Amino acid sequence: MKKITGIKIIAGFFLLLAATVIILITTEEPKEVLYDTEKTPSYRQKGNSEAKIVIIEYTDFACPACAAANTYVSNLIKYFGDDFNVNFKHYPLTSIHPYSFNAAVWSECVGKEYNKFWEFSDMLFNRRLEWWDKKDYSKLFKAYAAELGIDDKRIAKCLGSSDAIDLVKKDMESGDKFKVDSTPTFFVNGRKAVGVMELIEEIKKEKQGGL
Amino acid sequence: MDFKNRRELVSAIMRVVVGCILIYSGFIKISEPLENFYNAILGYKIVSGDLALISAQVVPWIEVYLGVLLVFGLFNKLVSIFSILLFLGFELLLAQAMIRGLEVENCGCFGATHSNPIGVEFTLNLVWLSFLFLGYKFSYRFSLDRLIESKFSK
Repeated sequence: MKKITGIKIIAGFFLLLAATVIILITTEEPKEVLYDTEKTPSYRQKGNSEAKIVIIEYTDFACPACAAANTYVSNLIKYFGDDFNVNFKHYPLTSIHPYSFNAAVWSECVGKEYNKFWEFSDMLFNRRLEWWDKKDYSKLFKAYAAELGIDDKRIAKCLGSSDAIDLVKKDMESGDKFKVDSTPTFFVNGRKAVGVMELIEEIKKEKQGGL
Repeated sequence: MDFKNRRELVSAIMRVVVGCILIYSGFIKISEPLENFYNAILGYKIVSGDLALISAQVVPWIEVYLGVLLVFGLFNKLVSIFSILLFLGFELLLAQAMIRGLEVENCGCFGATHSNPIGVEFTLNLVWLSFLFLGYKFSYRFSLDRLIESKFSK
C-alpha cells in the first residue's frame, strides 16, 4: 500500500511539474516584434513630449483594470510629469464590452474637436459602471460631454464621419500587430509590459539606466 | 458494454471535462495581467488588499493542478473532494454577490476576456459539481489510480 502511494506521489509530482513547465513556457512573452514606439496624436499624449521615457498605453474604457491603471498613470504624470510621455491607444475588447468601441470613438471626437480627450477619458473610466452595458450609452456620453461644456453639434458631425472610427481601428490594428491580447498593455520605450505591475518593473529598469 | 461500465465511462468523461475546464480557467488567469483577476476578486467585496492579491496569485495554480490530477484520475477521491470544495467556495462567492445585489462586471471565472453573468456561472457550477460527484463515485475504472494499483499491487 505504501509502495503504491509512493508511486502515485511520484507520478503526481511529475504531472504537476510538467503542467507548471508547460504553462510557464507558453505564457512567457516572445522576445521578438514587441517594440511599439509609434506616438499618438498630440491630444492623446500627456507629460513631457521630450521625455526620455515614452509609454504607449493600450486600453479599454470599460475594463476595470484599465481604470485602475488610468489612476496610476495620472498620478505618475501629476508627480513626475517631466520624466514621462504617455501616449494613449485604443484597444476596446468588443467581445465582452459591447459599447467600449463607441466610447473610444466618442473620446476621439472630444479629443480632436475640443482637445479635452483626457478629461473625457477620466469620466469614461470613472463612470464605466453607468454606461458599459447600456444600449443608450450615447445619452450618457452626451451628458458627460455637456459637463465639459462641449457643443453637441460639432461632436455629432465628428461622429457622423469615419475619421474617428478609422483612428480607433488603426490603434486596434496596431495592438494586434504588437500582440496585445489583454488590457491594459503598455510599451515602455518599446518594451511590452502587461498590467500595472509589469509597467512599474519596466519603469524601474528605465530609471536605472535602461537595458 | 453493460450499465456499470457505461456509467464508469460517462463519469470518467465528466471528470475529464471538469478537469479541462479547471485547467483552461487557471491557464487564462495565469496568462493575463495579475490585476485582472485581482480586480475580479475585489468585485465580490469579501476580501481586500493582500489577501485578494495572494488569492489572485494562488487560485489559478490550484485550478490548474486540480484540473491536471482530475484529467488523469490520480488521487481521484481526494482531488475530487478538493475540487468540490473549490467549486462550493465559488458558489458561496457568487451567491453572496447575488444576494447583496453587487454589480459584478467580470465574474473572474475565465479571465477578463470572457465573463458570464453571475447567475449563469452559478448554474454552470452546479453542473460541474454534479459531474465531480459522479466522477468521485464512479470513475475509478478509467483512472491512473487504477492503472498504478493494478500494476504494482503484487
